Amino acid sequence: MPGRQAHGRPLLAQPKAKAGPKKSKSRAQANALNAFNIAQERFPTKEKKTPRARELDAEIEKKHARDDEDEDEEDEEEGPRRKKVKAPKRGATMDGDVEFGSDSEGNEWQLGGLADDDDDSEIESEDAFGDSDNEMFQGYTFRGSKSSKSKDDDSDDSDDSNDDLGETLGEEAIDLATALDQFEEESEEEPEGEEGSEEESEEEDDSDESGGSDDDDDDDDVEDDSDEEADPEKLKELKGLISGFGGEANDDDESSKPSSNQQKIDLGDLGLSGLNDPFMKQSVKLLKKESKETRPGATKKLAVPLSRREQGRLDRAVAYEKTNETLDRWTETVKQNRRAEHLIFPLPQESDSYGLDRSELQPLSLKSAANELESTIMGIMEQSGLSLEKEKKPKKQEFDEEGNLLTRKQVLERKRIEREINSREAKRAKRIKKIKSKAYHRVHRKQRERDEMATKEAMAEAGEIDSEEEREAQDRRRALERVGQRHKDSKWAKMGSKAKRAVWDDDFRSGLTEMARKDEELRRRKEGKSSRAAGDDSDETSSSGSDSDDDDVAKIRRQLDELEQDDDEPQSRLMKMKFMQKAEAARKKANDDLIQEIRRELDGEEAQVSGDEEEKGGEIGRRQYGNGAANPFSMPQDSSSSIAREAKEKRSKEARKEREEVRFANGDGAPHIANGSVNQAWSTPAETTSSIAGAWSQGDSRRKKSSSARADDLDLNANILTASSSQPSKPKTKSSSSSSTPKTSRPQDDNDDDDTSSDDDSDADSENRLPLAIRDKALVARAFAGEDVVAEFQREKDEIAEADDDKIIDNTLPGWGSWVGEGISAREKKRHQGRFLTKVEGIKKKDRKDAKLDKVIINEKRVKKNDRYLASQLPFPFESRQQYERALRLPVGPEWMTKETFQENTKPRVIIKQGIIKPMSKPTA
Amino acid sequence: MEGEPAVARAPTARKSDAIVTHKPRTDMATRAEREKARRIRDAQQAYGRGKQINTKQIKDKKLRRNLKQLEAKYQSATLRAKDAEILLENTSGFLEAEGELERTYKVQQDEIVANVAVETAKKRFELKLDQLGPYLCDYSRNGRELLLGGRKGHVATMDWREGKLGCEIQLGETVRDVKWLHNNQFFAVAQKKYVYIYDRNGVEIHCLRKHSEVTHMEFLPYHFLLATMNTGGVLKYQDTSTGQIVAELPSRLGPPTSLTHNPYNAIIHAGHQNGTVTLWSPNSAEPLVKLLAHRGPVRGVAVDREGRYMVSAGQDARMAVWDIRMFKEVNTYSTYTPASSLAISDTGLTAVGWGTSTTIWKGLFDKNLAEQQRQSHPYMKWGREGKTVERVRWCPFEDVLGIGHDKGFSSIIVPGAGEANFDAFEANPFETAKQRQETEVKGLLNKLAPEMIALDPNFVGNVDLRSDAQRRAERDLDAKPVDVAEEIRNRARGKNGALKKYLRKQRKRNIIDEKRLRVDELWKEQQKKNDKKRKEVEEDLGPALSRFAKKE
Repeated sequence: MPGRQAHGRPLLAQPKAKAGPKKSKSRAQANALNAFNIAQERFPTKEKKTPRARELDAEIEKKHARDDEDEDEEDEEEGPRRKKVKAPKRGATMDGDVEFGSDSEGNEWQLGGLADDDDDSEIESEDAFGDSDNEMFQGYTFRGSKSSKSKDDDSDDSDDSNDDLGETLGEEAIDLATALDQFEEESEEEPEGEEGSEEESEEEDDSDESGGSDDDDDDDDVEDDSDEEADPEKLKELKGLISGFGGEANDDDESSKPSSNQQKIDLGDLGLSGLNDPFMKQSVKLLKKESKETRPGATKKLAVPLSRREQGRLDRAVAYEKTNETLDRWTETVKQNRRAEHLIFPLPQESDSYGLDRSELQPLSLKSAANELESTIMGIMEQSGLSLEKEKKPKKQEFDEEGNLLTRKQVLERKRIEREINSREAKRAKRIKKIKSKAYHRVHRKQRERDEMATKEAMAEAGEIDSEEEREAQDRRRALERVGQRHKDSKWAKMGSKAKRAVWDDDFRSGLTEMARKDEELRRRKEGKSSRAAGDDSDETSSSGSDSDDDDVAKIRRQLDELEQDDDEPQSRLMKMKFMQKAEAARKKANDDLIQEIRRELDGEEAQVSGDEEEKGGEIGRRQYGNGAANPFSMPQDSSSSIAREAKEKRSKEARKEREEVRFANGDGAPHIANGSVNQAWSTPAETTSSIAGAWSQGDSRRKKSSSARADDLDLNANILTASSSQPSKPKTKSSSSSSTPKTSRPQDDNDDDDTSSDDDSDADSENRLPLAIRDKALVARAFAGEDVVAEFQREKDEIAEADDDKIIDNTLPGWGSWVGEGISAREKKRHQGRFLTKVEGIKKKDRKDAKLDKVIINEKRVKKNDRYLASQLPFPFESRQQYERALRLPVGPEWMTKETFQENTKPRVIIKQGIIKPMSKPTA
Repeated sequence: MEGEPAVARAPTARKSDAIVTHKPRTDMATRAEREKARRIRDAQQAYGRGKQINTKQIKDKKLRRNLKQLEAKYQSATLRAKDAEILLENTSGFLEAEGELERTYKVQQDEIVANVAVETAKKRFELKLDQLGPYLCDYSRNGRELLLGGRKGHVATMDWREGKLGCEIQLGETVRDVKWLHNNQFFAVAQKKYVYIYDRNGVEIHCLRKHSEVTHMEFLPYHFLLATMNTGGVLKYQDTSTGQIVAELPSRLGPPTSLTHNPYNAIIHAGHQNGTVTLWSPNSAEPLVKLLAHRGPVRGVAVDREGRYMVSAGQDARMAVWDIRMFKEVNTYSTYTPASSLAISDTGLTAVGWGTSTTIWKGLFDKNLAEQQRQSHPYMKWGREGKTVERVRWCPFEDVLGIGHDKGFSSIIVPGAGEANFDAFEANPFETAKQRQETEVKGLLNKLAPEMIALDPNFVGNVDLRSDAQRRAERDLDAKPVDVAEEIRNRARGKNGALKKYLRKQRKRNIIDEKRLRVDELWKEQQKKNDKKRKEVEEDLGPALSRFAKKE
């Protein structure tokens, strides 16, 4: 029973297969019923006819084509084949369709509707409606019909199921194939007419739907209504037309009859049972089948459909919902695009290479091998020993002396111990080294002193040192210079400072510096300082008052003893371990050797000294040098022996005398002095000047450093070396001890008594570093004594602070609320003062920006002209000033950023590349 | 002994870190993450633009997103700037002593010349000009041209690299100062009485009679302002592009002894006789800041390129280094004799001219150090040849120091002094005439208003923090009411279309007030004018062609 199959299958056994056409058919029926309701009385069959008639009306060609179909079986087959061919084609063109068939329904339907509307060429439109659009509009059509149907009868399960299934396009493809099969079967079995009717019904549905879809697309309910209302009118018109077309009556009959049969009448009732028209037969068969239907409600009579208005409302509500749903899917995309800084069309996600990882290449390993080829290659490489992965190194295992494996903890412990020992020994070595260096320097100094003495003696013999008269002559010259024109209190200087000549007159300025220099020089000569001795003393320690050589040697010995004792200290348990002891022993040996060496050195030195001066005992505290000249101030203050002190004083005086002699004998030193002594005065290393107090209290390492720095300076001015080296050092002690401020330190004042000041032996060594600095400051203070800049500045600052401070203004007007004039007592007057006070807020002294900066005055007044470039208030979206000002900080110009950044920052928001731009793909879900 | 290196190695913080902080290592971070974090930190330190703001606290979603994006932009910009360092192909290097005993300041110019490339050696030259008194010198902004001014009226420009003389003029009167303007086309000379501006051919272009007896001049290239200070101590700013005097500010501190400008914020630093240095902007009649730098007259002032440090030298034979962001004295040094001139190079070398010699100091300040180090000895020395130094100036983008002295001019080589990589957007030493012209136009377009000068140049656009009461108190009640016509004209200046648009918009509004009436009037006037014009044109064209007349 192929024929029966052909009819029955689509409805019952193969609902899925025939989903598309069947659905449309069922809808067509519903439509028909609807229409029937409206126009039941007069034209019972019109709803079937009208759409077809409309098409006919619209296009004659179409009609011809349909006629052909009716007549010719070949043509009929052609139709479905076309369908089959087109279905995949459509899938190809609208790429999204295949994937998102289920989603697309709403949207597609819209698009399709539009496209059809626009499409006026009749053949094309028919073709288009014939197949794919039909399927596409299923959702919609069914929705409409379903809603009505669900009201009509609840038992229409098969349709519902069809609906659901039909919505997925993937299944639809199969659907079409089976449909085609069925059509073929049908065409074999059945006469053409029936087939044609089916086709027609489909097409008619399409056309209807396309109209409906148009309306929905516009979301215009009114139009929708009007369209539906317009339908009956059209129908009427069409009927008129159809009546004119007599030849088509047959067709109309066929389509109308089954529906009427469905309603009430049987074929037999109509007396048509004898008909042998194949179309009729088929429809009869269908009817019979329907009547045999076992499903509940399938054969039931359909309820009265809703009124058009109600139906329309429901349709619209559902359509609205659906539309919303489909549109909502775009919200994320829209958001994304709105937020995007730049949009580039065509969109990168539409490009073919989208999703490929274009970041840098990862090293390939066996694990990360992506495909078979890679993994095999990796395998081969592994086998041939070219593995890319590094083999793990075997962990180093440690053993103790007995060859026992040590745990990690133990190893760490051992390491720690070792480190401890190391540091201990390192400390000890350091101490030894220190001692060594001291001894070394001392030895060398002695050598130097001896040499100096020798040369001096030689000079004295040769008569190079000044005689008494010569010295007197020098003194006289000095006195003369003092009374000369250019000294500080001279008329010249006073006039100059009054006229501020120093500012513009270079001559005067040079005169001033010359004056200061000479002043200094004279003073120095008088005081008889020696910076040479100072330099030598710098190495000494200042902590203990006793820094004589004997003391030193004794101390070093003591220290060495201590160090040796240190070694013998009982060791901790850790130290008892063998390996520790070994390392320890080696280290200790080295240190002991060092100590021994130092001892040897000391002994040797002592032997030498004692060899030089046999008459003096080599014992501590009693030893004295024949020539104290080199180091008169570093004599030990041995309180016990006053005799020794006397002797020493005598000696130091002598030494000074001698040195002065040396200086004056140095005839060629004079021009250097004229040229360079000022330089020397200025060239004091600044670190000492900046921290005088610090220099006193700090250890000798610091002093050593600074002395070396000063040595550099001396190096620099090689030509003034001679002058500076023979500078007497004595008065500096006093000046340094007296004060550190430049104003009070006037070394001139009481420098006659040298010895009193030089008593301060604890400072003796550090003093030799400072004098330059202090002298420098003093000099500066003297040079600019005329104007007390600092005090003036401070006064100005105070004034400004006062002016900016809060002010209280007395607004009281005399005579307002009080009596004025004669006879008012002072008390009365006073009472009325200060009655109306207003306070003007200023800047409090403690809030000033320069409150903590003593040499700075910062203007606190607002710069009004700058206000032009200030924002009067915080711009809208920003919540705080920081946010706003941060937003401003990113520069715009190419000068301040790299080219890449600049281009990125100035890129337009939307960039459209030339060529075809694919539309955005529909969002899923 | 072995303990020491271990101790020395312990602080892992890099040397360049301003503050040595020891952060606990986050163990969860992978190596790549740590690497990335370090990279960001480095970039931030070198090219960062201030602290980030906390975007998480922002309530408004849109603002939060925008600011997040902004922060990302900041970060990417800094990272890219850091990465772009790879493009700086030239590196600068200094003289390095090989051992403790070797000193860089003992290196003589002859030795350097003997050991450098021929092209570099050419940069060392002497100009013997012992007739016309101590010479002042100035390099143009790109370091290409040199301007020399002899006290006795001799002024010359030259392309010093090629030894080509630009112009040479004898002015016949005292020259107190010389200064290049924005490029090598113009220079200003402070003469006996007035300041004159000459072009590169030595043709006198302007005589600035308002600047009388000027002793010091400075030029602010981004504002096109010529700042002069005269013997009366009055600081004057003149716009060299428009010719207007912008400000005249009496310092009331007598004749200045030195003058310089801070390249970072265009503040003028003037040294005075009482040892103070005052900081000026054209917007304030009083100095913004006053520092007591010295006890005697301030002989020289110089500010480093980034505007962080100022070095001043005074008659009291001291040289002081100041941090001019906090206004704190960092260090003081002594000069052997009072310095006569100071200059700071691009890389932070400080040249001090004193007496007959010049000392160059390195590392007087370092922005990357929290605590500035004291230098015990200078980097290089020059002089002691009996030439009294008048002025020292560094040549931009070159390792060259120009010294003007009483016997002429000496150009000496100081390794590491110049910026190795020039920025052609800024100043191009190899620019062609066309590029120079374009730079000039661009410079004029980007000219900054004198009102933008402030201690903090980033103030532009910031929020005015005055309270409302304060604002009301400061409102000028005597100000003239704004003239509508003037406002409209100003608003739509230059563009015909803009005026039309404005008028149209104003007319659309439904508010009738004085302004509106005025606008209507203007509108009618314009319409009438247009009609008239059109009629004329139509007449010209004749009856046949009149319909082609342009409709306004």
